[in-house]
Amino acid sequence: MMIKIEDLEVWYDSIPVLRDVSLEINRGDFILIIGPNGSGKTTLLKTIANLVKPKKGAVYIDGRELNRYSPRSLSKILSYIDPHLSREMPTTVLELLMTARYPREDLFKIKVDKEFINKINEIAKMLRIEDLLERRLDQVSSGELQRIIIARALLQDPEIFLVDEPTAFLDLKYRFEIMDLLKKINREYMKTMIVTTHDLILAGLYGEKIILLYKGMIRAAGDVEKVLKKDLVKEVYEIDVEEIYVNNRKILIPINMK
Amino acid sequence: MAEKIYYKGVKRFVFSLIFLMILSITLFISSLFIGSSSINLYKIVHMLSNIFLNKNSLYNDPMMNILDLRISRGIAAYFTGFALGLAGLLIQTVTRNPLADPYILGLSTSSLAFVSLSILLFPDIMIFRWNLVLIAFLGALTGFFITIGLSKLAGGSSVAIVLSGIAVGSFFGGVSHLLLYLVQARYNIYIMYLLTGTAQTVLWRELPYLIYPSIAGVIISLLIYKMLNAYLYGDIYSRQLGFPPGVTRTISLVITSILTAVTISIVGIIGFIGLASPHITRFLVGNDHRFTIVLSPLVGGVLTLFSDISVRIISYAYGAELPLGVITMMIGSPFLAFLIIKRLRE
Amino acid sequence: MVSKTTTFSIIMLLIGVVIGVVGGYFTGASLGKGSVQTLTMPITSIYTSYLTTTQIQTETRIMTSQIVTTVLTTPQYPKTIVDALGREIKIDKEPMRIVSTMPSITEELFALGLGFRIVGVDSYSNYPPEVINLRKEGKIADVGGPWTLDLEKIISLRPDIVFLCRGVSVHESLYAPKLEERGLKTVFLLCDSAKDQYDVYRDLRLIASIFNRDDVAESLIKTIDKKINDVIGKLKTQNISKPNVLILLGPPSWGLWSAGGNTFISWLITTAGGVNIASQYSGWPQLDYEYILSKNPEIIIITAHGINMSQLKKELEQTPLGKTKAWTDGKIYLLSDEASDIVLRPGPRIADALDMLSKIIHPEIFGELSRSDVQKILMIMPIILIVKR
Repeated sequence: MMIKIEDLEVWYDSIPVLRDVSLEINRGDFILIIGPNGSGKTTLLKTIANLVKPKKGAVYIDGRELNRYSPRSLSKILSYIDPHLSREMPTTVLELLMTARYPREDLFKIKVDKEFINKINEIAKMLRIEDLLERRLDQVSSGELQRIIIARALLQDPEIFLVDEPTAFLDLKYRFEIMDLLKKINREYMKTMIVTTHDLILAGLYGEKIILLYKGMIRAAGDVEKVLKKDLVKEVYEIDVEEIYVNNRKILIPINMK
Repeated sequence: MAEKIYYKGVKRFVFSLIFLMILSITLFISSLFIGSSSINLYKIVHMLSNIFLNKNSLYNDPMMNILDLRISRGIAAYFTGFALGLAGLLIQTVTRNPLADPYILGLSTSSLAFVSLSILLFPDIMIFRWNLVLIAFLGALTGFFITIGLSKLAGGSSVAIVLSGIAVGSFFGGVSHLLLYLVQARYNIYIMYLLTGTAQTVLWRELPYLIYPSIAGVIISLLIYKMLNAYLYGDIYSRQLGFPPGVTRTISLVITSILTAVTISIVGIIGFIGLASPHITRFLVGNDHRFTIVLSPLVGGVLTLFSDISVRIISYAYGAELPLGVITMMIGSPFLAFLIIKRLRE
Repeated sequence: MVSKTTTFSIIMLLIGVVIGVVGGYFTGASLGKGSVQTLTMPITSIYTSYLTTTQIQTETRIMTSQIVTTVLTTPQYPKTIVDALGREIKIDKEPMRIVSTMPSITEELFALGLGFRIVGVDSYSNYPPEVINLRKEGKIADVGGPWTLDLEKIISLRPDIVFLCRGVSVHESLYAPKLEERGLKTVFLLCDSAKDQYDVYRDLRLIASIFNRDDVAESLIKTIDKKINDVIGKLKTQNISKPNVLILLGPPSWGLWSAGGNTFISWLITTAGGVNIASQYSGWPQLDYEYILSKNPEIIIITAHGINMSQLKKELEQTPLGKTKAWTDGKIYLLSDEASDIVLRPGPRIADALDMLSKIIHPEIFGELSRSDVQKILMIMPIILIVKR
């Protein structure tokens, strides 16, 4: 599953949000997309997921342009994990998880396979949400919700995971927990992970291939050494940072104290 | 752990289904015994078979005629609730709002406006029931199309649909009031009957138009249950699961509008059933549309038939026939208040 | 680029719609025709099936009249009549059991000597007084209000004919189709759509022709017409001015409902030598004070049940009606109970109605009206008021 993005340009109404975006993502890659708010991270993810149509350029998966895929076949290949899941209706966690099987099942099939239910058990255990299955979605904490929607994506079992700001509202401990989980999925199941975050520290700790977006364009792309540089960060984020090394990993510490 | 919960849910569905079916049949049979004339239905089986063979003529036995009246009335009441139960479920899903009801699409007031206008313009044609039913139906659908058109201009999201429905509904509401004022015939309260509904005067020939679309609606909704389940979590979620949300919306809204328009034109505006049936159903079996599509119509049918029976009892005591829609609303308002408080408290 | 499932769903939807419409059409066609049906049962079966009900007294009377009719009159059935909705209705034989759904129809039936055949009336029917007794004794059933009929009751009475009113939309669109579906014969009369005495005569003649009592109707009409013409004649001979009259159906607080120019009340007012200030409207319009004041009525007639005069006077005082000439001259009349019924029902008592109104509008020609149920507002002088206290 190779993703190729060529000269992508995306507009919202009359505002350009992404420009001149070209990149290649290989199977099994762990990609972190970073940049300040409004730099186009979510838009890039949504465009790859075919939720947003580009004005110019295209996204190709395995050589085929996105709009040549039917929504159904695309749902078998990728999953966009939406942090803003609608919770207006009083649905339960289990009911949400049950929908994950739809891409792989016939539309009119009414019965549920026992295997799928076993899989739910397995994944629920792995993500420590077995006790939450009967809870209503609007009655779980943000940390729990994050694990729930990742569990759902795991059950959907696509090749590519598009994870949008999974650590945004989480306590420090859970941020690491989630990133560890995503890393694990990437390594053990060979799934392509494309994750957006605005947390520079996590970027340093977990990044393999990092893409820095600034004002809708790729400012830098490459490994941690190449992208997490003081001057780049100063230009894009407008803060001063110190580069330090912990356990051989480069971490950026903001030092904007006067 | 998951299987336990899941199979528990399935069991609840099966029990609820059996319970509701038995309740429906029991209510229907008892409705045959309730009405303003006190008669002795000791020969009911014999009479029933006679009735279904021979619907046109007046029977020798006065009890047969009354039984016939009660059967057609009971079927009309039940299937009105059946249609509204499904329509209510679908509209709540489409708008992702558990407090939505089918009339927010603006079709009740547009139906009223069209009927008032045609009574004003063509009083001699409108004395015939068939014309009134047809105009009421077309009026309802017109309001629906305008709402959808408006919502598409506003982006087509579920919020856009609700807001457009309110706008269209209010507009036609104003028009109706104006027309009612103009029509002004002191005795022209057909409009009031349209407003508040009655199952008493539904003709046998009109019942198939209530029954077939309802059953077709249930079947079609069941076929797209996955789309409906996915739709609950958002447009983005639905699309990334492989189901374009617009398709789900279109199919659901078509079913909802046809079923609602049919009930308005044949029976009248029956409030509360479209709102309450999905609620009660969700309370029984949760949100999975496999279950709710089957049960919500049954709940609606039971509620409406029960209301109709209450109407008959009250009319017997009070001496004049009260409209069905009024009773459903009276039962409904305290229930609705309870729901709103409960939901806001959480 | 529509996916397979989408097309499939849309096709299923269309099939569903088509099935619904086609199925409905064909099933509906086989279920009920909804057309007017004639009764075809022999008379004997009526007897046997009714002996099981409690209305045996009625049956005795019917049986007796049955015999009389068959002996005395030559059969002119089956005959076709045209009712007030323009429908052609075939009457196979003389109807023996009648249901009336409007008080004016009840009065007309009794006036034509058909009262003993009535098995059901609406809850407001109260004239002639026999109706009240018969209802008390259970010989005539109550079928509900004219706009809230109890169909079950009507059907259980097994009437041969049910009289309904043109212009009452619930009769036209709700009750008649259902009653006809059950095979009952419905005949529409003009009732409140009557515009003048001739429309009332039409109703009387229509009813009479159904029962072959045309001669009874003619003599009744002659009597009524003579009384009416007397009034008209008297007015013609005198050169009188026609006062502006405001008629209100209920006190002002019920809304200023009046009668438009095409109503029979308007005709009554005009024929009694007055000018209906609402005559430019049609139907039953709701007026506003500005309009009323601009017409400055000299006489105000208010029809209502259960209102007393002092209450009304207080109310009137506080409304702009207290600024009209009618108030100043003290010519405000409250018609209650029977007086109200007489004026509002276009039936055999229209001559009495005309008599009442002519006495109200032109007491100088016809004399003052003295009825207990017609009260003229009392304009008490302040001095007397103080003394009373």
